[in-house]
Amino acid sequence: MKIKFKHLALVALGSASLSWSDIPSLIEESPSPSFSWSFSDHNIFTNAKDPGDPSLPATNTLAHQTTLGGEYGPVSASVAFSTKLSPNGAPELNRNFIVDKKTLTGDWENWELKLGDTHQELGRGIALSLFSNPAFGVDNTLEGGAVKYRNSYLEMATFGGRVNVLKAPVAINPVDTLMEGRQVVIAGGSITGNLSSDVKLTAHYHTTSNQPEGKAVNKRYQTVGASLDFRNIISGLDGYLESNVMDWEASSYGKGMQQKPRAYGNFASLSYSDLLLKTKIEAKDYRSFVYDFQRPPTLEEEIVLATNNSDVTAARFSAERRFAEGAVAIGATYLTGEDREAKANIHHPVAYSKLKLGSGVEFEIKGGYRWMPLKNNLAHGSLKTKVKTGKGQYLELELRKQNLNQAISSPLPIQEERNAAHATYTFSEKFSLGVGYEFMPTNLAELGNHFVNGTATYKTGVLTARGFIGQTSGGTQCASGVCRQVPPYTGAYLETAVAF
Amino acid sequence: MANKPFFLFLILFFGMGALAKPAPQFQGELLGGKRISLKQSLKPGRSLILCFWATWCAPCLQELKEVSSRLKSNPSLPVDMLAINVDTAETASDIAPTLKLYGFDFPVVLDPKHEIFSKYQNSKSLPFSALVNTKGEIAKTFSGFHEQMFDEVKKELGLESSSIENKI
Repeated sequence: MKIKFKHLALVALGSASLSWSDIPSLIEESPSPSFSWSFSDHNIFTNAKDPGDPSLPATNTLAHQTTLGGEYGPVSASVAFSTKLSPNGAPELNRNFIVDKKTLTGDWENWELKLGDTHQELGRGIALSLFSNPAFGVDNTLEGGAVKYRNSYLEMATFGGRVNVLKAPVAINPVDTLMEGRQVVIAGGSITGNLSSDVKLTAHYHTTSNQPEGKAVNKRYQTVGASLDFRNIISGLDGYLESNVMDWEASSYGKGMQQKPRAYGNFASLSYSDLLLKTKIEAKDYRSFVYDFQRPPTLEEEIVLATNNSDVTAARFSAERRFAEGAVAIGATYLTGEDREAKANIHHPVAYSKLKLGSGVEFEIKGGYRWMPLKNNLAHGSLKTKVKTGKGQYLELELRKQNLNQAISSPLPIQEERNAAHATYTFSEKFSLGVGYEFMPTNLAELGNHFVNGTATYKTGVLTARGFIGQTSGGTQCASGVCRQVPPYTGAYLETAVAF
Repeated sequence: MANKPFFLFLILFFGMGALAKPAPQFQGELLGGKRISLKQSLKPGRSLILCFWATWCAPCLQELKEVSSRLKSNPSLPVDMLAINVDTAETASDIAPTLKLYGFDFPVVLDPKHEIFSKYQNSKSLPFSALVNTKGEIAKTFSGFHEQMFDEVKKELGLESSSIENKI
């Protein structure tokens, strides 16, 4: 039997035992509302080779999303239409003006009501995270309803609906959503108590069911967790603790639903800072925590090797000291732990230094070594400089080197060497040009050893346009503080974003 | 002649961008637990600079430093600042230490799910700032770090010829 997500959403909405009679009085308190609207448009036109088979002819793709929004007092609504056209690519992947997202929101002083697509996250994203990251073409939402009530002492939230992922992402390297042929329904909620102005205690819960298309539900998850967030417990000392337990069951052929081993997801951080020193200790302990809709803290540096966030225990220590009124900073981090999927320990020390010479020249040098004994190792280093050449004009130069050995104990080591240089000149706050070069001597000849590219960026308050031509070797790409591995790219693209 | 409606649409479409529009309303949680709305932040007769930032964004920190120091150096300027942090859960542990390390003491609204950010900028690129005038309208937006941002703010608010500007 197919689950009716509308019914589940209504149950979730109704489960909040809240007094609806409060709402009209809150509306009356609002000063005279005015209507406003918004329009945004994001386009990417790309002509690129298939990274899996560069011998095939390049294909043209247009990816486009328009979002229209309106707001009247505390009520707002938005709808996003997407299009993906590939005239000489695979026509079966074309999408024409499909409605990807729609949201109706009411936001009063103590109440928030949302219908349609909403982003949901519990704690630090270990138990659940439905989030958006445009650079990777990710916009996972819950299509249903969500209600929140809050006052100065507590906050209660409840939500329910089905997972809705982008059908036509506007991104060069969209992350695979893995949602094809299944429906996922999630309902849950949280309650937070403000124990004092600096201490918050939260409990959260959600239940998830996974149903392959045309079949019965084959997986069910239930997660319960709690978190404690405290600031300035002693002057300058902040901390966060979170613990989650997940029970889940999955159907086995001929045996019905079978209970799986209980999973745990724990995270803690403790930091101390003042004007000269920033120190932090973070620890994660994830045990058998396999769940598709999460974004847990990884503790990894921007050099991403680890993809295991389900069965790993690790801690990271970091410290940064500033000198000469912030003109000089030195810092170091050290990650250590155990990756139970790889059956190996992890060590990753990193050291860096930042230097400002007057108001015109900045340097940053960084180096590190990540290794898993008998498994793999990675040495990385980078140098960044920024030189002011005039009013609003800069020259930025970045050099990076990285040596990776993915199989130390193998008789045939798998080595990857990357040497990259990137220069950008900012002519004004509106316009900049960049050139990049990467040399990968360890690549097979058919994948290429030299990668050259050029970019031009034009920005105003309402328009951002970026043109790219050339090749990239793939590897790590970072956006919004998150790094992912992406495939190589050969071709050209024009990306525009307009917002009124 | 057949293209007339199309050109009219283009003129309207791009012309609308030049009109000031009401700043999208929001309320969010301040670092420290209290809640604040745009209406509460916008004080009578004063404009507001909304600075969207994240701990991992170096130009954002440069912009925060620039804006806060210039506002501090001239308290008579009728402009306030509200910083909106968009760090997600993955980097949220860095917010308080970063503020302390840089000595920032302005109010910071936490927007980990980008609910406020999405209302102001859909492509979510940083740094991004919006100047909200005394009428509650978006007078100007800034994408990327602008060295002359403060001069443009003054120009937009008509403060260029006042005696205040010389003190900034």
